[in-house]
Amino acid sequence: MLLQNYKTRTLKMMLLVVGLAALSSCTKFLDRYPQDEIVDETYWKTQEQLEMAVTAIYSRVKAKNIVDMENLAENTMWPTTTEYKDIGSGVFPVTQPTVDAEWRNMYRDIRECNVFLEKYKNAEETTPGANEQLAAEVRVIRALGYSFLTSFYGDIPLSLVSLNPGDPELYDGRTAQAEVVDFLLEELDEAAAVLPKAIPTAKNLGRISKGTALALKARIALAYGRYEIAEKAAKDVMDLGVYRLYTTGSPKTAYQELFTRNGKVAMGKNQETLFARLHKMDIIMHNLSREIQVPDQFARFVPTKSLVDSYLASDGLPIDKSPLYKDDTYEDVFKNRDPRMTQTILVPGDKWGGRYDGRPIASNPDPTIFQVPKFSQDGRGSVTTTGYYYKKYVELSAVPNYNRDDNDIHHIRYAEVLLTYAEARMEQDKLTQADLDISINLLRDRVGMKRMELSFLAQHGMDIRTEIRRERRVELVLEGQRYFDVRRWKEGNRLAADIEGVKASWFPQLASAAYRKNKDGFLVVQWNRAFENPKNYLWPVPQTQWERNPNLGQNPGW
Amino acid sequence: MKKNNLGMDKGFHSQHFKYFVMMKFLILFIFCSVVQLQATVRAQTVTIKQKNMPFVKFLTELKNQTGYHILCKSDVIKEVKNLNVDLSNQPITAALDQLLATRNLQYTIDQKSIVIQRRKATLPPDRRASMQADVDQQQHFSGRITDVAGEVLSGVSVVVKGKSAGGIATDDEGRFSILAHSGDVVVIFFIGYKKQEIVLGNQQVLEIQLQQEEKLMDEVVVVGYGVQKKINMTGAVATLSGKELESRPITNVGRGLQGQLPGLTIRSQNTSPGNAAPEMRIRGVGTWGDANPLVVIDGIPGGNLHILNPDDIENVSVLKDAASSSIYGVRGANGVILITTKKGKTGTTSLSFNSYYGLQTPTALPHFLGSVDYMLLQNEANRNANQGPTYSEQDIETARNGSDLNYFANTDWIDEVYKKNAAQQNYNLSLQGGTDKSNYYASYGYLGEGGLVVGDNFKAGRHNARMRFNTELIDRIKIDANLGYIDRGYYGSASGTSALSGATSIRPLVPVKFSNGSWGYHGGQSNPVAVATDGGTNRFTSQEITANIAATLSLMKGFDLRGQYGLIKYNSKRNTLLKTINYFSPDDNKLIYQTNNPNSIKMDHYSGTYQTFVGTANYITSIQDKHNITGLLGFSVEETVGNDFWASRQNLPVQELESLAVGTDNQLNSSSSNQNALMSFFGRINYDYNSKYLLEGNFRRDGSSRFHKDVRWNWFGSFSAGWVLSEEQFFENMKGFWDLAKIRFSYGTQGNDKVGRDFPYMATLASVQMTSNNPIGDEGQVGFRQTFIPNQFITWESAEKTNIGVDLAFLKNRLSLTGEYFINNTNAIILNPPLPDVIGVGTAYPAQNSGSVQNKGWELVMGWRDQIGDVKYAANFNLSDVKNKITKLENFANNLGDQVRLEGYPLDAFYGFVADRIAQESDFNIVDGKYVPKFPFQKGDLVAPGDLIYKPADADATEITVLKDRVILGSEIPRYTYGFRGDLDYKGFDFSFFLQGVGKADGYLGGAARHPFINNSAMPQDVHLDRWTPENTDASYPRLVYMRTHNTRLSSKWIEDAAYLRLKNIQIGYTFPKAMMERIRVSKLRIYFSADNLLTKTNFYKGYDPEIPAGNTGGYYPQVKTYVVGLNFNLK
Repeated sequence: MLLQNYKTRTLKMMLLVVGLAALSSCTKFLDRYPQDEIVDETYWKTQEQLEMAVTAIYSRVKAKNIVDMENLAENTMWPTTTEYKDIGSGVFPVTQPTVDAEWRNMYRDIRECNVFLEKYKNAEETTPGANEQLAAEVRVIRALGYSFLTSFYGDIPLSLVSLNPGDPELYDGRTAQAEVVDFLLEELDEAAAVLPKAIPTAKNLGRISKGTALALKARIALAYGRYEIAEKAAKDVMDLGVYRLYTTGSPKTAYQELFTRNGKVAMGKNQETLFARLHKMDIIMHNLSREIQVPDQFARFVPTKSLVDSYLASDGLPIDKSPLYKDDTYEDVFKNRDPRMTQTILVPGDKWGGRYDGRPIASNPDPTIFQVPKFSQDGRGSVTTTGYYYKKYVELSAVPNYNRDDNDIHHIRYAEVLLTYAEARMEQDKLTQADLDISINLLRDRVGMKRMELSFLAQHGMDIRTEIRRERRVELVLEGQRYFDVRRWKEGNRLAADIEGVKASWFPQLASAAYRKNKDGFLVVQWNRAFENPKNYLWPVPQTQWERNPNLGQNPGW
Repeated sequence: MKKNNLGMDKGFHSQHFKYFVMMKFLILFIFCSVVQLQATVRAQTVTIKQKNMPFVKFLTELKNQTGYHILCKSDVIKEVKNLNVDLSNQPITAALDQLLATRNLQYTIDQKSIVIQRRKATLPPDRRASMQADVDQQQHFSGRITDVAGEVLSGVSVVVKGKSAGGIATDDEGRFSILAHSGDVVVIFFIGYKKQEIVLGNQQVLEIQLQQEEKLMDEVVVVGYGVQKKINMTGAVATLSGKELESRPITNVGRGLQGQLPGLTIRSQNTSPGNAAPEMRIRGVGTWGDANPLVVIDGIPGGNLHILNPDDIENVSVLKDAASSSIYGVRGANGVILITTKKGKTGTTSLSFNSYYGLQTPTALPHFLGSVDYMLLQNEANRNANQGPTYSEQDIETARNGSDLNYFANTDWIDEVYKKNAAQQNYNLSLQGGTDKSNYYASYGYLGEGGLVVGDNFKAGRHNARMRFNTELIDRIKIDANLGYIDRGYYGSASGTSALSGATSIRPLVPVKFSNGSWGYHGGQSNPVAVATDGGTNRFTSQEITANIAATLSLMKGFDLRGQYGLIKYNSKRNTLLKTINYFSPDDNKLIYQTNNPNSIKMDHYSGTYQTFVGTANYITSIQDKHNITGLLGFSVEETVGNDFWASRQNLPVQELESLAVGTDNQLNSSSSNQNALMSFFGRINYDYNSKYLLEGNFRRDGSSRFHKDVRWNWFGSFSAGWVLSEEQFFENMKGFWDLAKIRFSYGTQGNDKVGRDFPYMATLASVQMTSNNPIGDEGQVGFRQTFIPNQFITWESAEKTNIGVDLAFLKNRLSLTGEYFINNTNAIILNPPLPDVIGVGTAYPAQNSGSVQNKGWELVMGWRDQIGDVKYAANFNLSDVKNKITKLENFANNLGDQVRLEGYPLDAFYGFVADRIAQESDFNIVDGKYVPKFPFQKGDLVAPGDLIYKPADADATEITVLKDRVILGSEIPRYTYGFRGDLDYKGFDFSFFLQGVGKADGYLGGAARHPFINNSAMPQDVHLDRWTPENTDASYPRLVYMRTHNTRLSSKWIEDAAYLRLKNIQIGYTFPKAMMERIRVSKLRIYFSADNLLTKTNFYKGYDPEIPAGNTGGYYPQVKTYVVGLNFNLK
């Protein structure tokens, strides 16, 4: 009996001990914390932490994608992919994924900026003023995101705080475009007031500075017809006195080299780029050079006849007026033209990375030299659908390998600021020769092109507006600006035109009926394009967004 | 035995204790700790089951269960052979009668003790005389008794019918000898086997085989934290014996279970060697989150069943309803799979060796068109897309005449990438045995799988070692230690399955090799043979230890305490070596392309530790022999910690060494970790009245570290009841025809804490690697960002399950039937409601507990087992269906992709347009040279003759829109899954087949697997020749349009019938006759041929297996047929 009692007692004790131990350690045992992520409450305390958050925000800025957007317009033709091309050609359903993805990704990036702007204020600074400066950088990036959004979709939801599920603001309607633009202009002004004037160098190389904010402001103001503001912002950049056009000392290479490895911001010679997505060998690279002259398949960016024709002849006249222009042969086209043409478009005799060109292999001893465009997809060299190739943005050493291109992707160049200045002056009917001389003629001087003279234009019946727009087109080609320009100039019908290439008679292999030609004998590469006014001036509000928030409404025609 | 000893029978008192010991009596007793119980438990029933049980052990058990002291002389104990005991709820006297009768023993019961002694010869003198006379005319009959498998049976009772005495038992070798008259009937009986009666004839030497008794409901089933008699179960549990997995060339236990267990649906997903973990779902898909069932191996939750050695498995239980699985609380919502591994059996040591060797071949592969057809169709597709041609007429001619095999080859890439077959081999060695108190089981197995892809990169190997040891200390502590070790690895290509998708997406124009010997390469066309052969390797190796040790302490009669510690630890490594492949031009031998330049090595190390402690207290009692009560209380803690890291370098001067040390550039590294913990209290109570009325209740309280303190703890519970009608009086008359009838009902709740993240309630920032950041300052930068929006109210998904079941048996238990009907509702499912994207989280929408899914269904199992002469046969059929439906989505805007979640429809149902037919010229007006459709179409589509006409929801609609005109087209969730197994045995030959299938399922193939020219990697297959052209207007495929989606977006046209019937396994074996084998001292030798997936009958799209995951675009390691020959070999 004694034994039994003892046992019962022991048992009871054991249960009690185990039970108590278990209960008391309950909470502790279950309190766990992430081991590889930082808990938000412990972050946002130091300047270094802010810097790293800003680093992540910089990575949201469009990179090579900005060049891909060139395919939205009629400068280039990417034959083997569809989304931007289809949007540009006006034949796409409202469910098109890109239409939705741009919206979704852009708001994702903006949220990140909003979170930063809500949290940065209380961090400890090691450099006085650093936090406000970082915040200003973030505000510029946010403005850049919003500038794309409003350009694509017109009126847009303008969200300046990070939203959470359940917030009624999620279901707000759209803010009018004009209001968005007002906000952006003001925002960029405020950011510019904080940002440093000097081009950031050393460990700040690549950061946004005052010039970036002002140049973006100029771009936005110009896009929405705020010419006075655009002019002032552009002039403010010019007056900063820190930017100058990139030059090599030789007009023959200055323009082209800017878009190669030598022109990288990190190389120290470039004082023209106000903002770029930087790249670095082995760390972060892209595939642009290869895509332009890919040596074994269809080149993804090929110049169209429309672009080729837009370059002036070297006498300053358009090709339909210039006695210097001939088109009897392919080679003729490249002769006596604005030097930027031959620094942008591949000329017979140029070095290239496209391997075997259109000649038979037996008569091609050196595939590093381009002579004849290749139309046959035989796998031996770069194929062009239009008959032209780009060389702008090509770093030859990056062509042979996939994704080994470390060129910077330029977002805003000083050249654009100068063009904006000229255009803004012109639109206000204030343009003088002096204005041209401190803007467009600097661009022309760099490449040795005949200067733009108001008197010359008048003398040859050339429209100043057309010429300033032409200047912008040829200077900024392949930098993702064309689609935005075409729409703001209300030249949408350009996008509806067939995409054309070389004259078929230049190349015997194009004689086959399989190749479509227009009435003048030029190759037709893509047809049945469309542009409806006003529908195609804006993208549709993406189907999914509209389903989720009917308050967004839809754009005209969609 | 001396007479004076017998005198002690009547008065056993404690003061006699010493005296009896001195008298060389061995006295067995165990404390009966609860004195007051002694009175009530006396004269109760006993339940003892064990084969080959030492007599002493039997007596001890008897004592434990009854409370009687037992007295027996030690020399008597020594004389008695091991017994095969099978007593369930037998009154003690009946038990003793049965077991002692044939062993020449008798017993007497006193108030507190049972005395066992040798039977005394008590025949009256006259009987003796007549017997003597009998004996004179009697003959000696002798023989040997074995079981069906040829194993000798010792201790079998052999009795001449009509004679009360003279029964004997077989010896160690199963032999007996008996005196009887010719014409007498000999009755042979042995517990667990069917009684046999033999009329003695002239033959004096007999070979007798006993057949095991089919006591259907006496089976014991492994349930959560214990075992239960099947007859007493009130829950829905499907079980499978490890035998059903034997001799099958299965590389993974999960796939072996396919079709075998009603309610468990298995779909092969990834099928590449070493990676073939299929998707397992119990009773449908309960959540769009993690719907994987909980796997519990030897009592330890969270194991990986796919890497177990099938040969180590003793049995599998699938817990399907709340009654059986709610004891697993917060992790039981998706059902539970319990695996018990083998343990040693007391008795002779036995060694067994099983092995097979065979070949795998793909079940289905697609067939692509040759070069000329491809080029013609490509140009046609371009033209239809308003775009110039890709190939000139001259190019096509070059391909046709084969004059440029470097750039206009005609390669059948499927043929080049896939080997005809791959080897598979398996070796298993196990040793087991034991003594009275200890037994052991040790095994080793090796599985080797070759790959079907060229380059010898796809292959896998697995070593499994397992050791289980059971012992008993001081008669009241049982120890069960179980150690498993797995060393496995699989090798793949460094580029994953890109060689497989490459085979379906590369142009036939590309040669495997150029004429200069370099790998063939055309722009944008990754050469899958080159990639698979020279592109580098991905070697995964893993060492996994699973260990658990349990101690059970019998505190008092019927009351046990059990503690179990379990550990699962893995250390895995993955070396990814990306080798540079150089491609040289056949024209000038210049380097034209490189893949993986620079070359690189990445080493991943994954490690994790799972630990658990489970403490339980069990209590069993019985009141008045009728009220049986079992209680369980338990406590458990669990912890999972994972730590991974990786490092990489580029530019290895040699490509053969998988070492970071060889890399010279760009050293990168990172790490990640995770952890979570669970704490639980649980309990169960069972009550049955005479095994007739059954009741059970379960509860569990769980706390999980995954949730915020305020919502961390919750209760789960279940209630169930059963009624065994066949135990009622009124049923007696039907026995023989109708032997069993039982109905059961259960209801309960469970949870699912796998909500995706370890800390869904905490806002965190994750690092952004320098490979995606702006290199500010011309240096790689690491950044930090918030990646998701936390929700501190996130808690588990909760399931509510109702089950009704019926168990029936007929015709002397030869026919058995089980039927189940269930309704499972899962609520509070984690929903990431797609919010307006202004919220700015990309696609990672914040989670909340708000969805509901219902699974409703039934299951039917039918079994038949019989013997006609020497032919034994059995058949087992199971069929189940589950209807899945989303019942609540909180009206959140839907994510309307191809697979959608809509209230009232199955999870991830296919959603698309209804395709009417292909449009003809007459369906258009021609305006300004352009086709203008007369039928409604979607704005922005480039519609022309040959395109699909979609049906609008509203017949008068003028336009097709994605918003209004899409409907639910089907579901990939299989319906009517079934399995049918047949076994046939005839004199050493055995034959079995296993059919498995799905009665109804929809599937579709995405992208390039189904549609050519939708991108530059979508090649035409032979079926696409029948596309619409102005000349072929009655086509099966619409016109080809380069890079346009208006025909290929999901519509009824592309939904395939994914139902199938498979001959999952077929086996023919031969077991060599016992006699022959004994000469070489082998107890069993069987050779067999076995094949898995031999035949598949399906209407699915040609070239792909019907089990391919919906939407797959072609990068799919094919499902395989496997043919093997093997042997089973046993030594005793």
